Amino acid sequence: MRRLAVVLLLLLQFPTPAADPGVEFFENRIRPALVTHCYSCHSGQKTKGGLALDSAAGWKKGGESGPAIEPGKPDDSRLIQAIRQTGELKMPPAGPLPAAVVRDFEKWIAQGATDPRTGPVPGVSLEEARNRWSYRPLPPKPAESLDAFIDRQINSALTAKGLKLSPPADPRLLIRRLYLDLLGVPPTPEEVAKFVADSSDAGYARLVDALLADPRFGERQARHWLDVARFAESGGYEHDNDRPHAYTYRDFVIRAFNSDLPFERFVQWQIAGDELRPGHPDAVPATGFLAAGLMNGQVTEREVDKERYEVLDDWVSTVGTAFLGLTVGCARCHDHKFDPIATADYYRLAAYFQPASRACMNVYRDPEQARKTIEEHQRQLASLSAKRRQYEQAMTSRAEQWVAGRATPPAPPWLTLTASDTGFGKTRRGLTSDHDLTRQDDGSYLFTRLNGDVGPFTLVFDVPVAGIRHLRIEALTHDTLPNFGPGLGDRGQFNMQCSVSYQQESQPSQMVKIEKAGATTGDKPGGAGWSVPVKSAGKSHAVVYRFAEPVGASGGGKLSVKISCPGDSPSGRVTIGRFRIAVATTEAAPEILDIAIPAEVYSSGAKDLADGRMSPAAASLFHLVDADWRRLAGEEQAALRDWKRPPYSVVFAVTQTPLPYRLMVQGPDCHDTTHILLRGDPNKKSEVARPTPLPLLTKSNSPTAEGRRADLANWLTDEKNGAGALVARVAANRVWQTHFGQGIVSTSNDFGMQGDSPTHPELLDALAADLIAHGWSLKHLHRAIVLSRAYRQASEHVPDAAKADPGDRLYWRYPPHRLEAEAIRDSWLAVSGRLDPRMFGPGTLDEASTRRSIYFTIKRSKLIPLLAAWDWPEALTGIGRRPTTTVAPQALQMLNHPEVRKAATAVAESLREESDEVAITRMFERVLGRSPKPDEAGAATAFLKSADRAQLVQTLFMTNEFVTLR
Amino acid sequence: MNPMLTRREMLRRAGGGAGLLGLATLLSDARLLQAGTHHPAKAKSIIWLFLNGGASQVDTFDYKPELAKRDGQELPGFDTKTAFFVAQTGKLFKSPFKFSQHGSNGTWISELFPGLARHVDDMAFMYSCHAESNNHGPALFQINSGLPRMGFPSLGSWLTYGLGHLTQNLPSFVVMTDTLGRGLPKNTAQNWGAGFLPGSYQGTALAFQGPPVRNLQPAEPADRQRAQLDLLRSIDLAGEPEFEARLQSYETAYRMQSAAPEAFAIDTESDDTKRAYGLDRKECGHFARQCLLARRLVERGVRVVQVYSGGYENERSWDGHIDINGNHRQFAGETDQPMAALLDDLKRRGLLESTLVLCCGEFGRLPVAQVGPKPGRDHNPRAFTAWLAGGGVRAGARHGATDEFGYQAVQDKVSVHDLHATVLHLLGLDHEKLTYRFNGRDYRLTDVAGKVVRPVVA
Repeated sequence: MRRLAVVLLLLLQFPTPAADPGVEFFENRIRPALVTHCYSCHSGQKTKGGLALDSAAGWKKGGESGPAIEPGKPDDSRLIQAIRQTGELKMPPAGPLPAAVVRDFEKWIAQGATDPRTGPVPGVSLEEARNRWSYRPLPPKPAESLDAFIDRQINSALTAKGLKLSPPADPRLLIRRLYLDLLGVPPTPEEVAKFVADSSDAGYARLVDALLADPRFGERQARHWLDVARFAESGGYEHDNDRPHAYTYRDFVIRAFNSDLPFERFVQWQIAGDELRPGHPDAVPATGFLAAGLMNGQVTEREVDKERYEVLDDWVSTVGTAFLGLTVGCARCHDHKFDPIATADYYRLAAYFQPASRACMNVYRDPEQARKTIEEHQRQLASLSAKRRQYEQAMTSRAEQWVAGRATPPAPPWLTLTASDTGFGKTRRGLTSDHDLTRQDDGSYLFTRLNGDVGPFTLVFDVPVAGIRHLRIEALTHDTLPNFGPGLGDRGQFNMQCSVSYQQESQPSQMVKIEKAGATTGDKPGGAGWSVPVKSAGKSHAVVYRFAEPVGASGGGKLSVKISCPGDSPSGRVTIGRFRIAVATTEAAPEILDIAIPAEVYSSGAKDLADGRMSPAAASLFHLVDADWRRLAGEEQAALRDWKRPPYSVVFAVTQTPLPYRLMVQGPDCHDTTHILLRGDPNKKSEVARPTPLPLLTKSNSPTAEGRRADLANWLTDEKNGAGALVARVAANRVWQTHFGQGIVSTSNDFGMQGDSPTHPELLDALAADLIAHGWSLKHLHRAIVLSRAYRQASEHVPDAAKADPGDRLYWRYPPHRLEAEAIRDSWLAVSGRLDPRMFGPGTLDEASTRRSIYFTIKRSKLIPLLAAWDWPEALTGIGRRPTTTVAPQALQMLNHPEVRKAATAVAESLREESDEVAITRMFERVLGRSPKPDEAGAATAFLKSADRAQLVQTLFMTNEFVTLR
Repeated sequence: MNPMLTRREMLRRAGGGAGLLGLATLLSDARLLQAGTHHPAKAKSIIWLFLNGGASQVDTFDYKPELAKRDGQELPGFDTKTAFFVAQTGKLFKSPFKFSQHGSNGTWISELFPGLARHVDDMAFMYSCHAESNNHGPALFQINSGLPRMGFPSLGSWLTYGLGHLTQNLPSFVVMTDTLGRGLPKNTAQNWGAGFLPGSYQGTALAFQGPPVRNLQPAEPADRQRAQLDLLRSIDLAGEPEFEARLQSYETAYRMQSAAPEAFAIDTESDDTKRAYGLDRKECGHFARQCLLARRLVERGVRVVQVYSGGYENERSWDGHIDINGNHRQFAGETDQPMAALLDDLKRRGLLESTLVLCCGEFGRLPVAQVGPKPGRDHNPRAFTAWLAGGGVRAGARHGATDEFGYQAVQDKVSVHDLHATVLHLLGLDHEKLTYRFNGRDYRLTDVAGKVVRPVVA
């Protein structure tokens, strides 16, 4: 029967739409017209004249003046009368509809007014829904302590069923439970012994506090959250592009749990940390929550728009399940079937995220210290510059003499050029690029905006000097470039091809043969290509090209420098970010990093000098011949170049940026308008969606949070007027689930109408209310839960209780459950003594790593096999609770995997000096946290007659006891 | 109630966590053996021969005389954005291959497949298949999981989830990829991922070197592992179902260590068999080994075997952008004899009755040339041909049609959802009933669409 019901539900949920021509007509002609012309006053909460036009039920019921439509009878339908505007009621108020649209309505009604829209929710209005347990306001926090309240609630539910708590768990078992639960590794035998000696309530409370303060707590708890956040470090899809900075989000989560960052802020920063706290070393990486989702790395032109809505869907759906426990994503193609969420609500939520996109941002690890260091550096530069200018002042009379004597001008140094024109060619795909290349005060050019592919670009220079022999391109760092540049690649890398042409006035333009002469990146001479690879990025660099023949012997003319960077590549964008161009006319090129002056200063100085006329330009030439001046200028330049930047991270973030992260997309990388789509189809755009919070979770009389992501973030955590109460319930339930393996609401990602009901609704409310009352402190909840008697009871099976409550949803015992993949691996590493405790930083794909499992790099196409066998998530969509499977590949791994055997061998090795009897005892203590029973010791002793000790340890790893939290 | 459905029901609830299961093991080897279907079906296993990169329908199975006649002319109504290399689309380009008629109903087959041509009376063709994406990655996701996006369980995962296991000694969903170093198909292992289904439903890709399945090589001699298992039983927790399931999983693993290598030992086959598949021929030996192994696996109870012909892209696969003639000659040469031999072999052993054989790629190719020194053909999601043979298939069926040039499916169109619905149906599953609840929604392989293509069902 239950099965039948499920099937029926399915049929209801997925009507096959397009088959019916009436539906087809409605979808193509009527729905778009309704959305465009009527919904603004007759949908959702707005029902002017009591009329709703966003469901069939709406027009059937009609408004204050009765049903709006009489199927089959257009002339009798009030809606038709209104839109014909022949009577008293004229709709829409803005003016009459096009005649064709009116005819469509007439035809539709004449043919029976087929309308597939079942309305926002069949049978559930917003008002009814708001009374549901999950959406109600929270009660005040409990008057008694939370752990006492927990036990009172648990006990009363048990008593009602004639059940009771089990006796307290054995201290050995309890400390093992607490370590595995809070830290994800078992206690050492010494820690067990210490607790067994003082397992009083006070001793236990001390232990709890110590473990909550242990840095391993964050590593364990963060992993639970990463499931919800579908965290991975690659983009998925065909190319599965690596995201080398994504680990900064994982590190943020670990730090957040360890420092007990108020959950309210934890939520806000993950949505809009970049807006709320720009430059903050935790708030900005927090947006890695959004960035972590899938992203197709190769998108054809016809699919750009579609993919863009996929990205938005990932964000909206994940925000929905992670924070609200709502399957908002279900409303993408049709109004939600079960919860009062309309399609328009979905797109209005999505609109908060535009025009944000992924970006690689630089964040100083200690912004305050960095500010001081930067200010100090600027002071140093200013003082060097002042020193040089003072020196110039002091030498004015010498300069005047020198000029008056019509001295020979010094050999020209590097001469900086300023472009008279820049031109951008078509991209590889024949598209024009969308960009701003902006000249900076120092003569360099910086991409200040780049959306999509970029074609080869050409800078044209009017040449004020004669006989050019060398070209220098400096690639310079800038704060806005990933890893400070100098490229726009995700780690500041770039690669380019250079070509040069020269045009003497009225002559045809001629290609100049160039050859790379040297570069600070250590390139071998030759060729016209240059790159700053990842290993050299983060610093300024320069390349020098030598011309085969000097050009422009008679002076004047135009020099064109064309730079081509692939606008996209399978590994992302590799465009140069900031550059400066200089030339030299001397036979031998100046030193690659030697000083430069503007070319026009040199040429006008030389002219003045020939005339014996003093001028700032002429003085500049004098400076060039003065060794002391050159030393001062050199010091200034070196200070700028050799400055050591304060420690920073490059963060894979989501933000509103003119320089979005780019993969191989045949179109733009960020978009600024979000439309409401009909049936989720980007080819069927309806009105523009304005950012608006969900009506379901918004007090109708409260100011709505329209606008930026920061507004969405604030609405989410606002427990009075926004979604805060629900967010707190969802969070409290997740905390409970970490401790018991099951939530009070078992569907921890779905608190909607289709989700499971809470087993202890008052308890859930109390946890949520107490969470908020304690400044959104998660550690407060953890502490209260593990201090409860319910948590501290034994986990033995009780047959009678199991009959009454097979799933132990009422907690007649502590519910045993299998450990997660990470905790199993971390446990055998920990007991082997090989666990490397280093925290944070980039991860690895190497299975032989001995760091904790949370530091494995999560590459979606190369999941770590050691973990994948134990239900490690595929990180595609956020998941609320991992499935638990028990299958042979896990057993094969425990039997045969070299890493498991290494761990077992390490334990055996450390006991080499001991007798079998002692060794067996130690092994049990270390692996299982207890001494062997006599029969176990006997069996183990017998086993060792034909096998080695490592095999015995391995057998202990294989036990249920080792992999079960109980 | 059918025990299999109970199991599936439980899993569905577990995914969304309706919670009735509480702490019971959600899935274990033993439970997976409780197989069952929605309706009786002949096919118990499927072998999916995958023409990776997208074979050209108009050069293989979809004969278009009009294309030859209008060679060099414009393709009327052609949307150049259908192609991947939009700037390189050319004129109509006739097939460089000769077609001739075969079998009792005179089916046209190109000269590329002389071996398969012998079997046309056993095969059902669907000429009107179409997909959504013109890009390998999304198209591979769609043909494997129903949607041109990442994140959804593959057909093989759905099948093993729905049907359960026939054997405990082998993984139930096995994937074989190119062994000549030409790379994995695009999307790599994500093509056979389990999506939101429990991870144990993902496909097992066989390694080319060393033991084909991970951790299968016993680390200790059998008697010592036996002793470990006996010790385990004497010291471990017992009495609760999940504890028993784990102990059981060790017994299964222990048996797999000896049973699986036996399945992979194709050298024990007779010389005649090996020759029939073409193991001795350099041209097709690699694919021949995989086809032969596919037969050995379904014979031993593997549910789903997917064999990819060709590697990553372009000339390393059926992705004939440049020189369609050379490309398709090469890949047909690699596959024709092994595929034909597989059909022969299955039939001779009576396995064709219980095995569904499916052959297609992720999309088709354009009837116009991709311009270059040697003409190629670009991607075309608007039309491709799939053929079926074996359990429950209406032998000799010819379904649907493309337009006169083979540009797009026009008659009795078969979407990827329809194709999937049909495959599930042939294996006894109803695509509308095979669901899994995840994050508040009951998901299906066929999303909200799909119709069984009845004319190809016996």
